[in-house]
Amino acid sequence: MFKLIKRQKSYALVILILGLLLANSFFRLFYREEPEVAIADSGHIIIPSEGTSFKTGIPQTFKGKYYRLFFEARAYSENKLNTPDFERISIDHSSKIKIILKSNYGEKKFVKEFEIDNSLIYKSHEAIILMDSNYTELIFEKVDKYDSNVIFQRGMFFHELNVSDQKSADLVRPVIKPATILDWPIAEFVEESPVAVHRFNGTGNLVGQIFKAESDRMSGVSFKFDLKGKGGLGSYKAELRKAEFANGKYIISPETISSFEFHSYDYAPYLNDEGEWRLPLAAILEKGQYYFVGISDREASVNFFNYANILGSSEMKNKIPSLLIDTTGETKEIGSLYFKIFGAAYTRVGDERILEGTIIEDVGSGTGYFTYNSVGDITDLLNLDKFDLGENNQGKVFYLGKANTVVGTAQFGTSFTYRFNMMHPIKDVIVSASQIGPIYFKNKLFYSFDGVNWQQITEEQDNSDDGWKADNTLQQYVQKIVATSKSNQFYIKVTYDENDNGREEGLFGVRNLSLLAEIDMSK
Amino acid sequence: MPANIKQQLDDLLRNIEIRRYLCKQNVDLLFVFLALLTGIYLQYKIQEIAMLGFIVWNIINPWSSEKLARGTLALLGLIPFALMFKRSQYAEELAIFVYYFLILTVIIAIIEYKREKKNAEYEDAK
Repeated sequence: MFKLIKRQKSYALVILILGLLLANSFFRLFYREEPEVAIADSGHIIIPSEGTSFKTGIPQTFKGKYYRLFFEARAYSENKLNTPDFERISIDHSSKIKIILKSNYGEKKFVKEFEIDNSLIYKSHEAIILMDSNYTELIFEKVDKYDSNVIFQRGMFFHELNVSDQKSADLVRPVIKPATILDWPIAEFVEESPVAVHRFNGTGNLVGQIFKAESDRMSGVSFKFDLKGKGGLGSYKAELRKAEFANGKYIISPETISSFEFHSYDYAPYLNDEGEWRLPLAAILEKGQYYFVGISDREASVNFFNYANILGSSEMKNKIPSLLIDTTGETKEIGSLYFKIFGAAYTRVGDERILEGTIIEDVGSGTGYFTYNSVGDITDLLNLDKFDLGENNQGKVFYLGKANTVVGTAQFGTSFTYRFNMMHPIKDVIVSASQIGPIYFKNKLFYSFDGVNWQQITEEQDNSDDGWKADNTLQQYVQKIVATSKSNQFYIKVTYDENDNGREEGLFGVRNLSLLAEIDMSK
Repeated sequence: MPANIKQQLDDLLRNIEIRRYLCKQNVDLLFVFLALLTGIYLQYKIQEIAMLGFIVWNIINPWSSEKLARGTLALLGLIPFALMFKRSQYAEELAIFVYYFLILTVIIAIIEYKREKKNAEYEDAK
């Protein structure tokens, strides 16, 4: 046998390579990226499907002190995508994990058992723990070691509390960490077996749907496409425009409010299990106003083998029409497109929206902390309280994908404002942010406790005397603001520096906006 | 196995001339075919399947390292054009293939170097 292998080395090598490729697909000998990991936003896997536990270090704990463990988690069946529909229910089981503390000397303490839902949405979990020893490690362990779910986790923290007895520990309020639901349809037309309504031919036509805004936030849109080959090269563009209904006809504005560019061959981030293309297209809408959302093939190039059809029904089944707008601006009704338009359902306390990216933590004895970190996706735009588009509404405020932040056009006095509802009187706030990049305008940042009286936030000074450097250094803001009133509200307004000019992009905005505030939780 | 049956089997094999089909070229093609089937089964993209077939063919009938290096440079030369026409997806895939080609080139170059060294030693010994 060995002689044969030695004689036929090259054939043996080929068999070995093909064998390893096959073995890898069956037994995962080598790491291969799974599509589910891409879906799982900023969280990460702590326990893989074949694993049973995850260990992480914590600052050493002290006997007799109270601590809070907080984390968000979800479970997911890794083999879900490869399983036929009728078997999916049985593998959609939730997971149970137990939390154990461990000291340097191997001493262990069982903390609590948590049920982790099998879902795409993260759920918060927390435990308040009275320490009986000095622990340095935290272990997450599957209760059932044969459980094959993958456990994802994000946003974990472990903080000491400012309480000394069980009575005060019982009074500590749970952490508030909102989760904005973006999969909330505000308008839709769903056709069971959709057919091709329009074939994109790369001539610059815009095909889409008119809808009436019933909500003030839009987070995305879904359409169905039938792709032939790669669906065409170049890019397609989802566009949102204002629409008016006058004299029994819809008139579509030529101005685009928000847009999103995508490639038909790069379908993985957008295509869901139902065959819908879920495109992130965020905007703040005026309730009751008509809008048009559509797909433009201006930048796409198609041929006989590679093209895309947009699906729906060829009959007029929907009350509000689907339209084709050609390059001359002429509109034509084209049946009913399959579509879903998504809003944003915020976590609310009472009537107040709590912004995504916020954590409100009670640490006991009337002290609490409010933290906010910009998310870096379209929720940053949805989080805006309001914006000012300047003279005759000529400016624009939108989410810029390549900068991962909200930007405005540095003209006409455009500005945008965030409002943070901290729910308790603010003692002080530390604000930090920075300019997006050298090709973006310098900013002016203002804060207010009432939305009326504004104070400018001073930027960190660059002490170097190098003139060139001073011009090209990015603005950095870090300022501690002590509250003089008992307000629960805090406002940040971002606008551009009129004295700055010649920036390539003509846009302004901040990145990494973050707030850390001490709040009085006794009130 | 009784001698007569063995004899009959040998005759049969000789009659259908199975050996004729087992010539090196056909066996090589069979292996490349198996590689393509593996790629299809594992749901690779068509260009990845082609690359796998090429790698397998090259293991069995290696090109010279010089030829492979030329291939690598040719692919590398396509990347700026892909970027110029804003086809970044193609550029990325081309870069991956350049990487595969480079690995193949290095491996083949090492084998060639060892072979030459061995030949030189053999010549010296003679």
